[in-house]
Amino acid sequence: MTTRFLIYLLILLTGFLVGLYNFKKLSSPYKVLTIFLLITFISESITRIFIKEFRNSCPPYHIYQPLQYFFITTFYLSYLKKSTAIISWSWVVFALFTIINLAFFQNVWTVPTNAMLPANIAYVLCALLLFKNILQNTGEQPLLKQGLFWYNTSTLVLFTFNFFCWSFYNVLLKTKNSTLTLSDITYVLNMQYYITTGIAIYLDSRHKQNE
Amino acid sequence: MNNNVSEIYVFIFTGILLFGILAGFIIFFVVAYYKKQQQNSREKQLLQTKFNEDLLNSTIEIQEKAFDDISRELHDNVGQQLSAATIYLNLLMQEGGQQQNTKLQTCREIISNSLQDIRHISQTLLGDKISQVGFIASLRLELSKINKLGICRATLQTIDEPLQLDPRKEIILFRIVQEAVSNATKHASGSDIHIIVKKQGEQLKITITDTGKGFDTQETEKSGIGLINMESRAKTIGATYELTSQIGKGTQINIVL
Repeated sequence: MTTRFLIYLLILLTGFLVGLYNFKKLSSPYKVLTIFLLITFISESITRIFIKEFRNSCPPYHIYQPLQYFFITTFYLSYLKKSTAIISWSWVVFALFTIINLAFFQNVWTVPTNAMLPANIAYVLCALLLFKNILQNTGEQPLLKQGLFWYNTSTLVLFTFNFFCWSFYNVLLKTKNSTLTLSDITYVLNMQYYITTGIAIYLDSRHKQNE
Repeated sequence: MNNNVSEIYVFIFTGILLFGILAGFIIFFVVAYYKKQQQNSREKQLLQTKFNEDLLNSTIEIQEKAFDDISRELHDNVGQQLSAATIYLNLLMQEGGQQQNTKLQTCREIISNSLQDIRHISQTLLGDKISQVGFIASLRLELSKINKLGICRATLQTIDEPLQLDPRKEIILFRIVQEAVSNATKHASGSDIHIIVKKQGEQLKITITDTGKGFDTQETEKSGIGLINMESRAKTIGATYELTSQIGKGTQINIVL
């Protein structure tokens, strides 16, 4: 287990503990995010066991992908009320698509990029819609003190770059150095995402406390 | 190999471009958000000011209506009864002897004075009367009433030319001065009250000075409803209101319209 991975796990755990400590004070979407951090922490920990045993970390991601989709879209569902029906149906469609992909296209030992790419597009769309929503309903609270702004920004950044990087994945696989770069970028992006998620959870608990 | 390198360059270039677009989007969003927030805040403030103005206008209207009612009641009811009493006294005086007449005469004078006072009060309370008689004439009447009471010595220094004022503004200005004079008689007993009304170009300047005991303006600001009323009334007609007072050195109020 590398130091980098340990730091990554520590970030996930810290975010989850911040959420757990303030769980009662959190609004529902941030409670969802707290559980999501725990699921991610468990999933990432399991990948290490798979690497150790099978030299492949892909199997847990086939389960993690639909879970991640469910949790992130549930978070957005709380704010994008007009898209409730679309998001609810997309859970069923995405779950079916993941099963079909696993059965016929990308087996358990392959990275489920076919599932990741449409999910990334969905997250980016949700983030853009939420930005529009935030702009239409400006409150009195400063933007930079809003957890929603921080989480939404990090979602937009992570999943735009994720989509971009995984689109180039096959090209970059051809050169060893480049995949190393891709792995670095993914790590940095994921770390910023989970740090920001932790900050968003903290800001929400503070906001609720002040209310 | 060359193909791979060019693809990596495309990857890096697209990555930088994407980063630039995202950064630009976020900056644009933050700026747009703050602009919208400021606009909302301004709109809210405007609505609040408009609401306060409407509320104040309604209060003033209700107050004026109450004054009018009291004025009419004094004039038509109490005034009529006192007039009737004077007529009866006159009849009694015609019937009575010399000694009795002296007492009746005194009685008639008291009632007559009371009747005059009531008429004065009635006039200063009636908004229509103030605009009909005029601001300066109403002020003179008010000050003569104060002087008659003998609590303070009130003087008025004014321009001769008639003031071309909107009747509503005239009433409100008069109410401000009335409140200031009333405050001076209540809190600065025995002092001199001096009112100056003058024109400075297009502006009308009214200064009310008293030589009373003065007060701490910061202390009174918290509780002085009369002072707040004067300031609010001045605001509704677009006048500036300034109050200065020092303990032991009297009070001065400047109103510029």
